[in-house]
Amino acid sequence: MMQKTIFFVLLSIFPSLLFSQASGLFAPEKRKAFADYLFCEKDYLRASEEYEALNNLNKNDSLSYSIGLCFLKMNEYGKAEDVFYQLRNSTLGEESRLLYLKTSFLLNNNIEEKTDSFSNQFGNKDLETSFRRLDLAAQIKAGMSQASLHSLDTNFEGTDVQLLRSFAENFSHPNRKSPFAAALFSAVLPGAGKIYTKNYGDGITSLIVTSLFSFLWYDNFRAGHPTRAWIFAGLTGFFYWGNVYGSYISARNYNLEKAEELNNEFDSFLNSKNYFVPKKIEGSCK
Amino acid sequence: MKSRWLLFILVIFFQQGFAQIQLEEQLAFVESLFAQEKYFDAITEAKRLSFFDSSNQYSYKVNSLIAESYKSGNKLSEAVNYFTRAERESRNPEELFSTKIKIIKINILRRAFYLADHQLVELERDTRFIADSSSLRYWRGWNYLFHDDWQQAADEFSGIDSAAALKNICEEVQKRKYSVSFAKGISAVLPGAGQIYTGNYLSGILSLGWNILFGYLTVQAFSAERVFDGMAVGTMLWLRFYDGNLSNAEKFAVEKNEIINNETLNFLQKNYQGLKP
Repeated sequence: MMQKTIFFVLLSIFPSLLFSQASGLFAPEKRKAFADYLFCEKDYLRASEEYEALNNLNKNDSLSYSIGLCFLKMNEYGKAEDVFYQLRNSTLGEESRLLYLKTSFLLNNNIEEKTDSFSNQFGNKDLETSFRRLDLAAQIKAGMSQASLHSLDTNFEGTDVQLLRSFAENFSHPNRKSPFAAALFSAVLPGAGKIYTKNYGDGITSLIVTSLFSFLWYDNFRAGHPTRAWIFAGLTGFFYWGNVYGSYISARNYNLEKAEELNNEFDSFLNSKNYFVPKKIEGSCK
Repeated sequence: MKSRWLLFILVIFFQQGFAQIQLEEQLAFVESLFAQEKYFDAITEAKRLSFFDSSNQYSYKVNSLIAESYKSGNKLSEAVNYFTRAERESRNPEELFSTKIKIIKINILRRAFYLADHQLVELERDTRFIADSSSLRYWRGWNYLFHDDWQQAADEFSGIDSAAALKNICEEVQKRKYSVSFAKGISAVLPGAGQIYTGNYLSGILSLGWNILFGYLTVQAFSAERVFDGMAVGTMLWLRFYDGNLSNAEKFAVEKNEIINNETLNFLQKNYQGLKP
């Protein structure tokens, strides 16, 4: 009877000891659950550290992929690109290849060569579509040729096609103003260069002020008031050259603003459509 | 048979106790990291404890520690977020009051004056905290202090014995500060005087010189009956320098006051021994 009781006690305590070892807060499966929780809480830095600690214990593709996602979410595109490149031939190869291209695209790297080497490497239909769309988005930004425009119809749907066509048109023929032309216009007629860069208020002000000071300069010399004449001459020169230089700068600013505006509009369009994000990322958090 | 059931129950109890010990050990670990000022790690481990604390028994403590760590790392919005969670988990009026004050302190630090003031008013109206009116007055004083209203801060501190030093500092700052309207006013009468009043002598003399020169040219043009010249010089040159002189007087006074404010806040941060946000 005594032996049976001791056996029962040992039988009961042994699994409980085993359980306690495995159930510590740092047990791998608990750590993974905690890392997933941090990821869903958008604490990507801590989540990446947890995934890395687990990956150091037992290397696996899924953990590396999660680390890459954390970097991507933290906008650490360089690190994310490295991780996804390492995983390009892993069990999560297709998703990783797509995300590798996406991070390269976000880093403003030229992805033309990369897309060429990755084409026909997507078995999954959704990923293949995402890949083609990413490739086309990169082509649009690089100034897509007229001949490639028809491929937008087959890869995008509805009103998006029209919008993308207009983006392609704007990227290949950007609305630019020549800084030298602007300076020249303003040298001939003060303010004209600013009006050319659609800076109408400044243009008209430049014209009025420079003309006014020129008149006062001339009139004071004519009336024999040399002190005031020289003051107005100085002011005329200051405003005239300021207007020429200002027109040059105005054209440069116009070009920069237009390019940034177009890039921002295109990026927000792509973000709103979420074209190139494998469902696995967004679907893992409830 | 009975004894075997008893043993079985004991084993289950032992397992539960072990889980409890793990959570307590984790809490001690978090507290030690916090004490060592390893705030990033303290937050990670506190979040781990919170994740595995299925019965939420450590919720108040853990959220408070996370919030304190974020605050120490100057992540004030996150700190408020976790203090708010702690507030929801508070178990008695003392914990509730203490957490609400911590939120107010962060709002004072991030100069959210009206929000902090509103929260202080809410606490004053709460009948559970009538005995804490002196403490609320003290934090209202700090709120005014961070809002650059030193006189009002001195008034709030005046009724609190422990804040006598703060009251004196506030009054001293109030005396040292430059009057913006006075600086502008004297510059309106004599261009450059406001700049000289705020200690910017060169700027003041230059301003006076430009105004005399263009004022003279304007008057000379009008007296020579060249009205158009006078209007052009008067509006485009004299008025421009006169207006610039007023703006400068105001700007210098504001800048000097900011320097005084920041010096005092730095001094309080480093040297004041009493409670501070």
